[in-house]
Amino acid sequence: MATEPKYEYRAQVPEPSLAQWLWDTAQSVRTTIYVLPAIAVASTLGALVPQNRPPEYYAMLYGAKRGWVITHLGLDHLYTSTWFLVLIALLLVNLAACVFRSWRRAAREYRGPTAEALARKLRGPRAANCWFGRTSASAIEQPIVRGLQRAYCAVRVTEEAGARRIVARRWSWAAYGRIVTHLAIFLVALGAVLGMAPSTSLDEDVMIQEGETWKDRGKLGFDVRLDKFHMDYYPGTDTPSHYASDVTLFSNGAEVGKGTATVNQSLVHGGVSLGQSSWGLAGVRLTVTSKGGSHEPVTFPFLPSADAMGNQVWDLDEQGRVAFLADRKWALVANAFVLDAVVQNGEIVGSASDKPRNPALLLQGVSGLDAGKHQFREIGWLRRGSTATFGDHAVRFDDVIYTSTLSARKDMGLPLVWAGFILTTLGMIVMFYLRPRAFLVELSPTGRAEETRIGVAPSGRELLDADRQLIEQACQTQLKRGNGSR
Amino acid sequence: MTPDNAGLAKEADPLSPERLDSMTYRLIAMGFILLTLVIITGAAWAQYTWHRWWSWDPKETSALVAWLVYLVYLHGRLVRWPRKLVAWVAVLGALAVVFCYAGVNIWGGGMHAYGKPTGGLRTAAQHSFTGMDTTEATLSKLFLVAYLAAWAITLGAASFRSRGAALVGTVMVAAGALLQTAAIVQRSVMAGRLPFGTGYEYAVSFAWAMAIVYLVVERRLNTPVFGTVALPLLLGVLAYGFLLFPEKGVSPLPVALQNLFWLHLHVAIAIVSYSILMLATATAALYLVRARKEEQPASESRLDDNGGA
Repeated sequence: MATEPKYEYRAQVPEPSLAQWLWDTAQSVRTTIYVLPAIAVASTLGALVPQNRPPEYYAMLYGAKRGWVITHLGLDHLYTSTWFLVLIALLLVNLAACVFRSWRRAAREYRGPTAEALARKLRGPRAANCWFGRTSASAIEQPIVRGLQRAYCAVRVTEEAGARRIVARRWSWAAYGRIVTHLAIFLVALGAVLGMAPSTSLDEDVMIQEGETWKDRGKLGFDVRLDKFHMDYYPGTDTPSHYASDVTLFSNGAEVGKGTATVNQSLVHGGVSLGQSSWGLAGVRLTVTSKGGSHEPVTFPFLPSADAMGNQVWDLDEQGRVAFLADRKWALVANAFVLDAVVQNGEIVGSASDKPRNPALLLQGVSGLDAGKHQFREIGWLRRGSTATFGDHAVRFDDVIYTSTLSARKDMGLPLVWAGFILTTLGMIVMFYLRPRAFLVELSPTGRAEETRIGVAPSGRELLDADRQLIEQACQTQLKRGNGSR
Repeated sequence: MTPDNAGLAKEADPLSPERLDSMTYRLIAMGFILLTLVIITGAAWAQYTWHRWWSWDPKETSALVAWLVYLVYLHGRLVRWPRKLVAWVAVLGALAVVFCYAGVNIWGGGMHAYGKPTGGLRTAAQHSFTGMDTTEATLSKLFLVAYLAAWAITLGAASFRSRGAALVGTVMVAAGALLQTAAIVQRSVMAGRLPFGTGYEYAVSFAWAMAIVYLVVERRLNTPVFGTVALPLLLGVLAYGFLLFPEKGVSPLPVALQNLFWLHLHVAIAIVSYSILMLATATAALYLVRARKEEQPASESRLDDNGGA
């Protein structure tokens, strides 16, 4: 039979409620140090796994099984995946709660200990840092005050029971460095959100072919025509030295601007900046001159595709390899294209680079189309700028047709981001290198003529070496540890 | 705890765990602020050139990862994690820095492709000085020898506890740094910019900054034991630059790097920051060796506390 307990003890601290537990967790720095590594690990994965590619790419690069895992865990678009955004949100909630919690502590640190609290440290068994000067209190007060002021201290002098109390406070405002650093992260986050919100910002890739106009659909506020794309190279290398797009801007059909957008110099119009982002090829442009002297433009379009590793490849579109001339008797057939012709024994054997430095086109002419008895005539390889004849026509390979992608950006969040960056750094410097300090120098007569007891609080470990040196300089003496007795 | 005033005494053990812990913290605090500036200047430059201040490019992401690891270090101290654990985080931080510096270029893609190593170790030896100006090649050979000798001498000094040899080791590092400064000046004059344009140039500049930071830290710590751990890190960076980038000629800048203001500012801060953080690893590693039996919690100390350093 169970007996009644003689005594019963209740827990002193009640079990926390769920809400309390959540709040405690949210404002705990321990939470921070679990979330931070999680974000770090996720970001590392994102840095290693190429982002935003089609599923086949991952299957090819990592094998079918691993590719499946990558796409199903969202590692292919990690930074926009739900679980990554949840981690970021957790960090921000934690940050907000921690700032909220540490606000009071910062305010307390800002105020610092009161003069009375410091004075109490001069009495009692733990009193220390006393020195006896063979001079009167009034004689050394001013040099000490001036010395402390020179060391960036705000000084206040009071008189209490015949003793002069000099309270010096330094870097009090530094108490808020921690708060500033953490709040500034919010500014950056807010700036990032504003930069992504369609209502406040614009992030549009404007891809245009040379000679054509990109029609705005209420985003930029203007249409963009690409007049010419330039790509220059450093002499003797295949390293591009310059990318630039000459563009004309139109609004409601009327020209409103003209200029050049380069990589390092955006073109700004109506608050929208147009920067050179990337380039591509839409095809090749030729001119056929007939015997009578008439010029006829001919184009062969490209079908952009990617190689196995996802690199862009430009080659002739199978559908558009035949171009009929206006007389309907002749046609041109493009059989091959190389970007940067490598010639061996008079033959073009391949491309030296992936840039159209020395493009060449393999052409055939077709005659007799009107008579129904067509005949092929070899034209051969035609380099950019060169001309060949077929029948009574001359064909000139004018140039490749570039496409240019301009990055149209309007980022309302930018000022917040920069402000956040600057504040977080300043806050860090304050946090690490400045510390609010408060100390008391009490000058009291000892009862003997021309002798003053100089007491300094705090003492021991609470008085940092830097503080000690500062006060020693102000008092022009060396402080000794002791309890005030000689 | 704060390393108390006793830690300041000159005769105190230069390798006491307190001193090493304090030095690691000081270095990381400074390196962390600079790493923040690396990310910020990178963002400003990206806004200027790529028209986006953040695009999760592997390079910027890995800098963020390193930043997060050091953030764990700083908050770990705040919640008084065991000091050894905190020191391990500092070591991990250096790995993150190495990943950001070289790993991303090797394993990741992204827009910082110009830092990708182009050579293999097999052909490294015959290409060690290819493309370089003769003066620069001579200076390079000299500073490589000086750093290697410095490490050997420092190892000897640490083994035999010889103060004289330790001093010679330090002088050799200083001589190496001086010769390297000459090589960097020579190259800068030729290129019309600081040598921050290619993977090789960046490695050499990084190693140079490490040598300077090393001399400052070594002066404070005043022990050759630090050099035995820190100098191999410097030599590692040099080996990476000399062996894995076969072409060392002055080459024109890719379009994305043409803004010299941001190039100089961003890379200068990066090499100093990475150097400080790498050397913090050396002090953290020494701490781990020295504090094998210690199980004290870390303190939330501050830079103006009384530290050994």
